[in-house]
Amino acid sequence: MNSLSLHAVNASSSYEVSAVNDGCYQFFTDYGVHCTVEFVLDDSLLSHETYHLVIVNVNHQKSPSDVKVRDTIIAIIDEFFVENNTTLLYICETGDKKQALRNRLFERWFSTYERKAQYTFVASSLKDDEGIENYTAIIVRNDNPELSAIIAEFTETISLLSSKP
Amino acid sequence: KTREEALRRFKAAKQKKMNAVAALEEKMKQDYEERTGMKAYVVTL
Repeated sequence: MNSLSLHAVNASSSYEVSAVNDGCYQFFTDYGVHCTVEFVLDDSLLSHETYHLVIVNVNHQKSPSDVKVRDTIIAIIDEFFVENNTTLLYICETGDKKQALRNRLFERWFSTYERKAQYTFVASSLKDDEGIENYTAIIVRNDNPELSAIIAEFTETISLLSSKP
Repeated sequence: KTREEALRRFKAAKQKKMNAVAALEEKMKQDYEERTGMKAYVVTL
């Protein structure tokens, strides 16, 4: 993965972003939330180069709705795609059964992204073999030369998972 | 792919994310405890 330019991120983010390490970035909100955004290589789901988007509230600080969090995370993702024409995979955390809420929030964030027309966003939900409802999505730049193959592979995988065993 | 293969791949991808969160959580706890001398849990979005 190519490193992100913090200068470019901070030119458009609402909170100041710093690097934790290569591929992991952090910021602190007005409400005391310590948030990290990490890109982790996935070599399991798709055959094309894919990175997990991992967003963590490190200090478990509750916060009212904060549009600056959305703007900052979008600035980080935007710079990720400037430097990396790869696939971004989002799988909602399911441990606390709030995955549907996370999915709605993520889809709402993307829907407000001013350059969303430059990307293909495919979201889906599926039940795994333990009966857990999972929400997942991929984001790919429209100028990715493998766009059609990536979308086809993702939708085929989701279709298989959604079918009866 | 078969459904079984797709399920195996999805579960592996999900586990990969969970492992990344666990590693980050551990690093942040250690950083916090080294910085403050106090015990540090995290929430994933």
